[in-house]
Amino acid sequence: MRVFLLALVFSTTAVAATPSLKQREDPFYQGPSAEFTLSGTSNSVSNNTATVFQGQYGWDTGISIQLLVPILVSDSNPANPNNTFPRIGGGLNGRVEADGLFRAWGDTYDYLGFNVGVGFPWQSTAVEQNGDQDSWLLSLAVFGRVDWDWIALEGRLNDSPSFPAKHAANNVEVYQDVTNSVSISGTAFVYPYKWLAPFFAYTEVFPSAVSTSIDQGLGYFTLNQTSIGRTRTVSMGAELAPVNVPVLLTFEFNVTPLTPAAPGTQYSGVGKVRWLF
Amino acid sequence: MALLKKRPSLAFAVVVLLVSPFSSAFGAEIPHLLTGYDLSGSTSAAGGSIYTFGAATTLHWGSSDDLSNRTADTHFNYTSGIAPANPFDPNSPLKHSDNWGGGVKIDLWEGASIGVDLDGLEDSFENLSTNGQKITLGLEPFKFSYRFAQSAINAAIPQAKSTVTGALIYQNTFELDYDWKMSDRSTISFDGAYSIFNPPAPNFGNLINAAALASFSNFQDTLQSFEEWKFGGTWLMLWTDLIDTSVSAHLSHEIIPANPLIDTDLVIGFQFNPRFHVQLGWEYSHDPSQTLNTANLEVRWSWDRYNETVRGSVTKGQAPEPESVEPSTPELSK
Repeated sequence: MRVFLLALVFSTTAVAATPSLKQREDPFYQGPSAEFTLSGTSNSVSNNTATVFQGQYGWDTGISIQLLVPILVSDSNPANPNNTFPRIGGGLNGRVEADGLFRAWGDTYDYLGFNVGVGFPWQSTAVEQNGDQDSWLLSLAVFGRVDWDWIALEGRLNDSPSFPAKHAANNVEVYQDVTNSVSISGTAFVYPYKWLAPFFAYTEVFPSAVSTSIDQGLGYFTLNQTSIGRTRTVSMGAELAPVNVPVLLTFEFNVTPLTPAAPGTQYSGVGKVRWLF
Repeated sequence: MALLKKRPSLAFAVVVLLVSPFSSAFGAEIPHLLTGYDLSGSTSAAGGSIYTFGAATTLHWGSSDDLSNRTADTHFNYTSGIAPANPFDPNSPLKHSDNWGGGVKIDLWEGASIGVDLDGLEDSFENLSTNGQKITLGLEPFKFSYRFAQSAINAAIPQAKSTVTGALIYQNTFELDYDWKMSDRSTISFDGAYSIFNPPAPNFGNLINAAALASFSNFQDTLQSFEEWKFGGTWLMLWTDLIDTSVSAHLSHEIIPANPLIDTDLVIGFQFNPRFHVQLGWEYSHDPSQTLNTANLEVRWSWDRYNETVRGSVTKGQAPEPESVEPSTPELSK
């Protein structure tokens, strides 16, 4: 009887095993999780600091939902001297975003998934409210991962078609519109230890265009298009999984040799903390 | 090919969608994989011959008995049209336009789905481009979709007193579909769509129908963004385990003043075995300016570890319809 009671006590007080590093990476993690991202970016035009708060919940059906709130903490860009900080928008993600993640095949380690989300036109300052980020956006992605135990490869194809932002200037309607912003990325993870995963990544954002359309009463909008050039970024970093705490730490360093908005090389550092509840 | 050069991501998607069905690594793991290809040719009663070539592919992911994964399909189609640049000149050089569409449909739970599709048209001869985004919500037997599209002529357009650098119009399209399943072997689908243009459409319609842009008239049936309203129906019938047919008829009104446009499809399909389906189709479309006859061939091969059967469909290689390649599947050929 004593042994039975002891076993009963142990069984009812047993703590679930701490997720492994790979389980902590899983975008379809079952249950609630939260992530905080802090980044610093420097190029020839400005230095800025940005954060993203992300909350997520995943079900065992392979569906997860998440909410992202980007906040620009500081920006030294002289083109926007009247900016107030912190403000929603800009930086890492331009919009508050709600996403649905759907795993169509696989498990924690090997999977194929889709992202279908919506970016909201909620900008907190006048600068962004008159910019092309004051508009609805579709956040679409297909992403996947293959795992060979000691190494894993992840790939992602993003497309973010946006809806036009409508403004009034000098009593005429002006629409700002960004054509599809398409990007691909690939990441290689290496797993030398159970708690450490160095990674290397490459991201390419394909050329797109910004169109400014003005209603001059012709029955169609007059159109002016300016192109946005290609962006390539190489990254390296590491993920750390503390042994007994369900947290994933990420440190990343990015180099972008050429950015359309600023001549010269851009550098950025990113730190992330993900809690699994 | 010019479109693919301009859009490397599109080329990447094409390669992935075309090559992945033949990957043995994926084929062994993914239970429900399907692909089809179309080739077609058209003739016009006015304005010379028109030829269209296209390919369509659909990949089905997941399986209905695996509750840890959502079932989904990705679909992509591409059509190229070739026609005289000036339909009124018998010696006119040829021009071509590129149509593409693709997206994903995800089954949220039994009878409910969400889909997102992108589509585009590129006519470099006229500097016309169209980009559309469509969200579809399905709750059987209904399906509702909203499509937002931007059509632009990125070229100098002379006006009475000056020249503007380009013209643009936005289009919002609302569509409602209803599937009436008469039996396990027969389904009739009704669909209706209505578009609101911003600014109102007539002036943009006149612009693309002007003499300087006359060759647009050859492509009315392939231009995705110029229908003000459209309604019609499709009847799918599985006659035997071998033979199925699909018949559709649609009436539409376009902003280009050549209305009405009548469009019909007749398709016969042969399910040679649970994994192999061939369909032959004939599309007839007519408006006051032209008549189009299009032949269509689609070959489809599917992988499915649960031996489910996917039956006949109508694929026109135009605006994507997430459900069009996977009609209701009765208990056949198990």
